[in-house]
Amino acid sequence: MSGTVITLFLIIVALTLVITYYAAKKTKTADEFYTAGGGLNGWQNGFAIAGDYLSAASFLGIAGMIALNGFDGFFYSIGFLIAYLVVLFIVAEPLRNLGKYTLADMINSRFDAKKVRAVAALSTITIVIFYMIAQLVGAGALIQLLFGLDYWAAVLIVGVMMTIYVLFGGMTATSWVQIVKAVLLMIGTLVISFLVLYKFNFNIVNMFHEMKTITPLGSDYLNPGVKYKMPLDTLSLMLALVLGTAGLPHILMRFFTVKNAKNSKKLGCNCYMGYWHFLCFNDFLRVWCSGICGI
Amino acid sequence: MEKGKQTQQKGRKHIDYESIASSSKFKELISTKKKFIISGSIFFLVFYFALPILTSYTTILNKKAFGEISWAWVFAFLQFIMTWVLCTMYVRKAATFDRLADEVISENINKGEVGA
Repeated sequence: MSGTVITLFLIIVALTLVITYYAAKKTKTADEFYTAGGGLNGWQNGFAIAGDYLSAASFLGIAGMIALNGFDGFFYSIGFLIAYLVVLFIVAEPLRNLGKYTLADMINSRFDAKKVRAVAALSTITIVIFYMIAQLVGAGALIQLLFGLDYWAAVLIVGVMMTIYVLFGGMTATSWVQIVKAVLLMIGTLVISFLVLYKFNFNIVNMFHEMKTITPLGSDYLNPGVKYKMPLDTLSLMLALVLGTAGLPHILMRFFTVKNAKNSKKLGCNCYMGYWHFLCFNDFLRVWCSGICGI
Repeated sequence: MEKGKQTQQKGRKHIDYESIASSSKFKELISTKKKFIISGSIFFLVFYFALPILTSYTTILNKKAFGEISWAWVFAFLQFIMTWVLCTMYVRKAATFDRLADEVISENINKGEVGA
């Protein structure tokens, strides 16, 4: 652990806590707590969605998957990306038009049955629990690495921080924390991408050639089929990625935080601006990262 | 839009929803929207699933395109370009849909007020 890393980390924690403090002062009603009173504009929400997508799973997990499994890891990036089109084309507008807080509320308004609502709530909670376990493990491992803490302490710290953000600041705080996170990660991505490319004199073909020679997989590394050997494995992974990501509760909930459907479409277009740019760079980064990992 | 919504709610009892639903303008809005959404969705799903299908059932994409970069990587990067293009198209189309919807709303609100 180095002094610079710890200082940087503490600055970011302090910044997010300040955001939470101001958001908490503004949050009074249920509407403000759950959907930031519908008071975020398209750009802000676009960045917040980009932040949601830029989770530990996508930022660290996919880079690792590509580093270990080559092209098969890249499938994850593509699945996440196309899931965004599913959200934009099929989910966003109808969902926002109903004006509810959660997916369970939405299903309830359509079908008006308590049992259906209970099942929807249960499914949301189940998804979120599994999703959160993965995020906590990722973030905990990172803090453990940075500070040399025990693993359980690292996970506890992350859990307490997450709870503070959400409990006190509601949707306003989480949105702003996501916006800050998205901007930071995009800048980081750009810098790292540049550095990796610089290492290869901006020659991508050469970079691929190097990648092949440094992994234990050899030339298999650049071909699909390293991890997913059965065709059905690949197909079911791709199906789960494209529909699963589009259905994540915390992504869907974002569409309730803008004033109306028009803004939600604006959100769509802006988040494609923010998100696409990020994703494209980020995915190059992932490939490059894996290139540099072995060197 | 917000303002229009409020006026619409105020004048709710004067608006004949069935006549709006059967008006040609509204039908045109819904059908153009449906056409675009459905064809767009089918296109990106086919484009998306073509990649895993081609990589798992055939090896044609393993041929080299540029140096060590195989066609599988090229197709994967094309997915990004496709997403970009479809998003741009959606944003443009959405602006048209919003304009058509506003026209339908304003026409019927005027009618409603006259009726009152």
